[in-house]
Amino acid sequence: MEQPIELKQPEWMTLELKAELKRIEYDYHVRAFGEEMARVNFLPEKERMEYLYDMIDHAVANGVKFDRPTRGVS
Amino acid sequence: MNQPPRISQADLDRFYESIVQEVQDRGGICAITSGMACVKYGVAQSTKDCDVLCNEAGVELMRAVIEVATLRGASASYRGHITPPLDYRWLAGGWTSHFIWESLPVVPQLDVFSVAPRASSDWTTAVHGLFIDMQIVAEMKRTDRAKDWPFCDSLGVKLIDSGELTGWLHIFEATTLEELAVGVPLPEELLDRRPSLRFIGKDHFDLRKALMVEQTFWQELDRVRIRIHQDHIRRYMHAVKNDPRVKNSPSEIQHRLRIEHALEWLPQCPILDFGIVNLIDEAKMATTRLHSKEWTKILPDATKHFCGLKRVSLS
Repeated sequence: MEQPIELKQPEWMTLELKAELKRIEYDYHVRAFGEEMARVNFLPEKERMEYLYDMIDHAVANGVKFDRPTRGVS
Repeated sequence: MNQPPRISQADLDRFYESIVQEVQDRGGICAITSGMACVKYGVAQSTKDCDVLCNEAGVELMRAVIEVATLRGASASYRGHITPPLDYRWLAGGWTSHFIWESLPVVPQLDVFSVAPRASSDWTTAVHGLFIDMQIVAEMKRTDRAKDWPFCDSLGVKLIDSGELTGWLHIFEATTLEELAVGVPLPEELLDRRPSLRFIGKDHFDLRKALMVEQTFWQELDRVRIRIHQDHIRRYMHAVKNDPRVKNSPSEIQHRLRIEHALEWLPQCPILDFGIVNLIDEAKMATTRLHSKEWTKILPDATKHFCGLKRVSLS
């Protein structure tokens, strides 16, 4: 069973900073992954997973190969 | 002829998760890492395979679980001649066992290992449900592949957002670091662990340069690590390939034969044989070929990032 992760916030984490961190994170996702994936990454987990599953299934149906070479090491 | 229906990614993920859950239920320490963990933590990655870490007991249990785990009637087999046996004596030395479920339209691939590459702490104490902690995933993402690096940054910010200041150790983009520094404390201890952070708020271009040097170093470190493994797996791979008993044999026989060849041809821990200090020196030398030598002074101490690597008695 999944263990709950403790959500104790440190003193420095004010509500204003929390909001600012969300903005910093979102802006980074836009720069790194583009607008569409940034939007997806900030969806609730269920919707995010559905989007990803659809994306991968669509890619596979259209012949995209995801195989990685075996190397005996990760 | 009708094609069997495709297996959806959702079904594949559930299949992988059921394997990990079964190993955990039987008492093994086992956790999903890498791409699937990134997805779990809210950083989407289109990955179809599953990377799993297992402790010593977990490796044995994983073998038993994989042996009977079928998907649409397909059974697991070792992937390719190059795959080391699923045996802790080699996995503790840094090797990975690759498995596939063949004869399916989409071939599930499961990679099992016992040492989290570049982890600076014991991963067995950092398991949350079916997944490994963000900290370990972020360290593992410092690979030689450019596409992995945005996942380090993203997980670093997520760690800070969850109140973990160690997130500072995983961010490699100057803009994000500078923005974070406005409100997030940066303890001296972390500056000591990662000297490049000292450029934050001083000189933007020096910071960018330091981050580039650091990233190059981690990439070179990974390249050397992989090269060492590849150099040492060739004879084992040829022995497996040229053994007529291996072809089309049941997985139990495959496993026994791979151990037989590994005992003869596969060094348990090529990294320790090569020497961690030598590996780091080689990566530093490569880094100085790409950047000036003075910048290597800002590199972090990478000796801590080989946590869990060990030789286990063969008997």
